[in-house]
Amino acid sequence: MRLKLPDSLKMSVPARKVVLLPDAHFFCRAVPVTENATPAEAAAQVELALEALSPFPPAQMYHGHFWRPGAKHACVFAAYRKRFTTEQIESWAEAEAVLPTFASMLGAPIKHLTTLLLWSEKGLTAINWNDVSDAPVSVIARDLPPEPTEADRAALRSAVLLESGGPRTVVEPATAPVYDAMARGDEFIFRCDPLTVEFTREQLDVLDVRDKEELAARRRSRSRDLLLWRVLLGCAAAILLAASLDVALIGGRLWQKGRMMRVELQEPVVAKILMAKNLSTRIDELSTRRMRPFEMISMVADKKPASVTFVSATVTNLYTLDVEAQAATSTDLDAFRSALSSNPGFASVEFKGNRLQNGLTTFRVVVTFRPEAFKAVPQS
Amino acid sequence: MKAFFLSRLFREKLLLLGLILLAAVTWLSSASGRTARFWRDFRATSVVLEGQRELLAQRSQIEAEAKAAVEHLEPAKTFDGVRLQAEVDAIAKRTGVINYSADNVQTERVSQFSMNSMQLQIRNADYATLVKFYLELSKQAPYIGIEQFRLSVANFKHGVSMRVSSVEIAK
Repeated sequence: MRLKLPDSLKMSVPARKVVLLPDAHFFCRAVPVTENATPAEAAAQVELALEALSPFPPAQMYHGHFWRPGAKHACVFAAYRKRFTTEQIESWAEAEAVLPTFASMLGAPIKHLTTLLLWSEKGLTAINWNDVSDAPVSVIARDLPPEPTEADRAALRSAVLLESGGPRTVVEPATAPVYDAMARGDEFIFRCDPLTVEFTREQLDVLDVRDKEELAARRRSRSRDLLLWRVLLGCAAAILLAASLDVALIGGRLWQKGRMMRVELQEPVVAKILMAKNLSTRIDELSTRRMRPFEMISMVADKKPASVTFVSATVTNLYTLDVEAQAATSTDLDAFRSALSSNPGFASVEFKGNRLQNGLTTFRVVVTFRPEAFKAVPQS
Repeated sequence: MKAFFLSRLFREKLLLLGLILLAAVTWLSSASGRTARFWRDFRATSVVLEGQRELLAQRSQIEAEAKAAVEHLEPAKTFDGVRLQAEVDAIAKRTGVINYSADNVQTERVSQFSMNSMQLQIRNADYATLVKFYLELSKQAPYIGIEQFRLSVANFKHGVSMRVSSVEIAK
């Protein structure tokens, strides 16, 4: 079910306008088109054919054509420009398309060997098809006399059918073709009860008889507008995304609030567990892996040359001693390094920040002990 | 909507598009900023919750380990904060350490036991006296232990700063 907006909420959109011109102004021919031609090639071939068959150059005519992709013929129609007044032409500026009335029925769903009779106030037009997949073989438009009687109409009908030739199925709608301006969507719909014909924008452009350069400019303008519309759609999508994010954030914040409450509720219990873990580690260290600062100092001091004196010693963890020392003889530093490095009880020996001032070398040595280094040291 | 937009004049289209573009950029950038901040908080909370979950899952194991850590200790030989200070004072006096101070006594307690610690400063002592004090203190292991240690020398006198800790088991 499609929901409809109330009229008061609907945006005011001017109805699309299509101008249907009198058929009698136009002459119409079926011209051959090469096989597998593209729409652009077909248009070029139609223009060449028109030049050949028209007494006027194409620039002095309003012309259009109808061609189904793959068809062997195109139906070209043209009118001398001077048959239209300036006022008429000016009124076309706002129109989406300008075409002869019969052209609106060229895409009609009919069968082979059919004649479609289109009555208007001033005359009758017959569109004759031999093959529905091809263009009509002929279009015959004839005017009624002024103030026509039923007999005039019947006579005109007979004459036109006779001119159309051959035995044909005759389709004769009761009304003249009209453009359905109320129809929504991108397609252009023409109605001629009981027939309904839909044209796409591109198909209608080909039928449009106006100046081709002007139509090209309109097409460019439409492409630009379409681009703007797509950018607008992108922006609308971005706004929708932002709105969705904000809505999701509202839900997310509620969820997050619950999680934060859970964290706060668990915090005291977790703190107790952490403390128990920490204390058990410390007790384990106290009872099984004691810190042995003097043993460490003694093991390092045993290797020190006489000129080296310790300024401070810091135990940074169970197995690391950081000593700040001075050496009166700088060459002793090397000897000290060698002596420490050769001790298998040390995992690493690192000398740092050597500084020489007034013959006194100040340095730091960081010694990391192997756990088994203390096994030889008697328990205190 | 499309028909409405396409039926506008070019300048109206541009104006409409500009306004919507501005709204989209402003809203989206602020919403993405808020989302990024929320996501950071959310992930941080997830990490905390995961850590808590793991700890809670290990609760019985940690408590068992804590129990095991003090199992081999005799409650009667453990020291509370006051007894720790008194014991260190007695050892200092026995070993000839004169210039010393003890402060910053702290107690951390869990259900089965507690850890007491204090900061001990010894100043102007000779090295032999310090070693003697250390050896005496070590005799109280594992009930008393050293957790931090720094020795410094100035004018042939030694100073020590250490954190001494003791275990106390609830009787």
